[in-house]
Parts: sequence; C-alpha cells; structure tokens
Amino acid sequence: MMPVPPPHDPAATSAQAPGRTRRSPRGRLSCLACLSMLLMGLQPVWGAPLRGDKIAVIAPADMPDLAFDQLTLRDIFLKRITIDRQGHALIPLNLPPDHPLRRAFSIALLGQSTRALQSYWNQRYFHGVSPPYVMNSQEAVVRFVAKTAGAIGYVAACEMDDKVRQVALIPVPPPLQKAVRALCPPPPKDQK
Amino acid sequence: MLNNPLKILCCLTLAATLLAANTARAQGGASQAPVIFQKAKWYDLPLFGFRAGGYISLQFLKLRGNKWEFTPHDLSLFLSRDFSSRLHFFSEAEIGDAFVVSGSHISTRRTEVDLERFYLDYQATTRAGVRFGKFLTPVGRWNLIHADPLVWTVSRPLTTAAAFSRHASGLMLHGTLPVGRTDMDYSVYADDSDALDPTQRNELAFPDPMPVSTFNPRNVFKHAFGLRLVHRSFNDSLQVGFSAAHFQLEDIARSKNLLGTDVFWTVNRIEISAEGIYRTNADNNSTDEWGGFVQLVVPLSHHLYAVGRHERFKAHVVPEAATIQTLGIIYAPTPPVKIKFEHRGGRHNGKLAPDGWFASFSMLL
Repeated sequence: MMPVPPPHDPAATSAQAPGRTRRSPRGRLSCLACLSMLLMGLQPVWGAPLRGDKIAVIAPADMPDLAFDQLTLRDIFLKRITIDRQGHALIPLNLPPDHPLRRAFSIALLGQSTRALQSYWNQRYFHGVSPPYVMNSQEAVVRFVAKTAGAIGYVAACEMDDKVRQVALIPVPPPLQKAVRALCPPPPKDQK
Repeated sequence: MLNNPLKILCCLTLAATLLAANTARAQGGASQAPVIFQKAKWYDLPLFGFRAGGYISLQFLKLRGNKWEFTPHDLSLFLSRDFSSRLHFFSEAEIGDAFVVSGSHISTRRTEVDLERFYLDYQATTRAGVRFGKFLTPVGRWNLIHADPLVWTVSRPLTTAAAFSRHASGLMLHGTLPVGRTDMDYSVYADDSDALDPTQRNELAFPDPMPVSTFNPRNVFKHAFGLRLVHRSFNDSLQVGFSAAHFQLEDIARSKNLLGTDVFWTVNRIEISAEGIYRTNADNNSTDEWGGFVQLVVPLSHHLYAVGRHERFKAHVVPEAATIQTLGIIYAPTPPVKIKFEHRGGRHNGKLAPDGWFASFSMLL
C-alpha cells in the first residue's frame, strides 16, 4: 500500500505531468534555498526541528556583530577570527575532547577529528594562540554564553534555552547521530 | 657510554615511556593511552597579566668526520599578553645550544641567547591584523612552524632557510580571507632589520659545520619586503602557498628576488609536503640559488611514523647542486612530544649539509 502524503506536502498539492514534477515558483525558491543551505552545510534556523540530531550554535542575546555562515563560524572556532565588526572579543567555547557532541561538532563544522585538530592547535600555540576554552557540560556552555558578551558555544538542539540565541543549526554526521541523540531526554511516547 | 646512535634512541624512548606511564598512573589510570601532555599549555604569570609557554629540544648528532654531540639545542620561552580584544603581544626568547657534550668534553662555545620574535599585533578588522616588531619571515611553510616538536625531522631542509633571513623586523599586514568556501591566508610585510633589530645577528645561512674555506654568509636582512599567500581547502587538508620577496642581506652586496611555492596535503594521517624556492640577483638575470624538497610522512602504528625526504639545493657558495636524502622514524606518544631518529645522506652535500645521524627529544611545554 502506498503511503499517503501529508496534506502540506507541496509535491502532493501541485499539478503533475507524467514523468515530470512541476513546482510553483515559491516551491522552486524553497528548493533553491534548501539546496543552498545544504551546500553550506547549515540548516536554516527557522522551521528546523529541535531534535538531538542537530547541533545548535548559540550566542548571547546581544549577539556579536557578524554573519554566522559556515566559514565564519569555522574561522571563529579555529581562532582565525577573534573579534566581531565592532572590535569586541569573540570567545568560542568547546566541550571536553571525548564529549560526543564535540566530536560531532569537529567533524560537522571543522571537517577534522578532535585528534587531527591537536596538531593544528600545537602550531597555533607556537604563534601564541590558545584553543577555545573547554566547558565541562552543555549546561555550563549555556550558562557561560548567557552571561558573557561575545561568547559562542554549541549544544545539542534539545538543550536550547531561552537565555541564549541560536545562530545556526548544524546537522550531526550520521555515524555520530546515535551518540548525540542519547544526550537528549527521550521524546514523549505519543511523538515516537 | 652513550656513544652509539641506537643506544641514544633507546634511552630517549625508554625515558619517554617511563614518564608517560608514571603520568598515567598519577592520573589514577583514568586515561586509556599513556599520556604525557595532551596539549601544550600556557601558564598564567602573576606579573602584569602575562602568560608563558615554550618548548625544548634535546638533540644528538653525529656528522661524518666529526665527533658525536649532544646538546639542549633549543630552550625556548614564549611570553604573551592580550592588552585588549584588538592588541596582543608575543615574544620568543631562546637559548640555543646551552652546552655541547662531545666525547668527554663539555663546551659552551656555541651557546646563543636570541630574541627570536618580539611583536605587537593589532587586530584592525575581523580579517586583517597589523604586526609590528620581529617575526618569522613568511617564506614557505617550514619556517613558520620550524620548532622541533612541530616538524618531522631533526635536520632542516636547506630550501627552508639558506636563501633568505629566517626573521624579519618591521611591519606586516596579515589575516585570513574567505575565497568561496575556502580560506586564503595572506601576509604582506616590509622589513628594516638594519634599523630595527639591535640583537646580535649571527645567524648563518648553513648552520651545520662547514669547511673553513667555504664562505658561510650571515643570513640577515638589511631591508626586505614581500608577501605570502596560502590557499586552504578541503578543511585545511590541502594547503598551497606562494611566497615572493625582494631583499638585501647583510653579507651580500646585491639585492635579491625570491619566489617560492609550497604544498601540504594530508589524508588518513599520511602527509605529503613540498617546498621550492628560486632566488636571483635583482640587478641581472644570473641564477643565484635554488632548491626544493618533497617529504612523505607515513604512520606505521598509532604513535610511530616514518619520514622520507628528497631535496636538491644549489647554493651560490659551492659550484655543484647538492642532493640530500633523509630517512627517519618518529615516536610521538602525544601530539606535543616527538622522539626522532634519522639519517641524512646524499651527493655533493658535504659542504652544506654533511651526512650524519640525528636524534632528538622535543616537547611543547
């Protein structure tokens, strides 16, 4: 039996020609936007599900004056960008090296394992640059970011808090999704 | 007595393993792998907000025709301070060859105290900084990360040091720019070492002992300007650099032009790197000095690596181009620690980089 598409599915409501899917201009625009976001490795903050398989990049309510695209975030966490446009210091935060979310974040945003990054940070040490501060837990990250201007951290999307603002959502790489989901409380039974 | 390269290597490895085991035990055996230091550390000083770091390198070498030598080759101290979000200070002071043990003699004849780097960095915008002071000359990749714990061989390729001054003093604009989905690092600098660097400048083009009859010029800029670009792609796993400089050296009258390129590629812990330089006299077309090398690093196990390097270098002080091959093995119990053992050999290399055995223990503090 074929599954019935949900009523809000644009593919189900638009007219179809044999062998070809026609989309409205708005649909094309949405597809283009989603494709662009996928190419950038980020998901839009609007309308994204708050599930444990996403990493939320968070900043204080008075956010640093920056565009939070993937390359900028990467350069902030690699400390190649250290101030925002107003000259305020940026303070990237990490979780402990063995934390599953840090491993996922390193792969998803920085494209390197935590171990491979040690070599990078040793070279930066030689030039007087320290790696990001390490917080012991996601709760500590949220607390620090909420109280500190310029702080930028990351938590599992399910750990988001009203005290901070989400500036980007990053998909967790598939091999690490199970470990990251385990960090979130189980969803209510009726949502399973 | 420790008069054999293999014995030295065994002792260094044993010392590192014992140190690692002791540290792991002191940590209650919580860590899965032997740990000396997981990463290099900064130490906050109770002095005007400064913090300190550094590295050490203990070296053993036995060059053909010379006695074996053991020396604390580098004792390096970093001092750093952030004055504000935009203004930073960094310095590196180094004691080179604090003493040399050779046979039954101990000598301090080669001991040097040097101010390697001393600069202020002003972060003008998110992607542009201005540096003023003494810094490492941005030519090639090796010169910018030359510390023993950060490179894979004890001996240094001539390509990375002989044709230009390793330090510059002046002004540099530097930063990282986005290029599509990749990064481009840039450095543009103007040097006036003649006026700005009062420290004793006795750095030689060829640091290994040379025959007395061979001219070994001091490798110090009088004036220079240049630029370096590095394109980083595939999450930094591929880096391609280009360097250009126009300069005058202390001991050589004519101005020089230098072009250089370098490549670094890493995948699955395998590293391939290469650098090349070509230096000419600015006032005529005669070729002066050129060189290049290719280096391959292959992991043999979790902590053990093999390195091989092939280099060709034509110096202006000798008529023949030298061919230099280096083969070595590296034990890296943690990223900040490296224990190396290698052999260097070649053809027409006796005057510039003689055959020999090298070993070192190096660590970021």
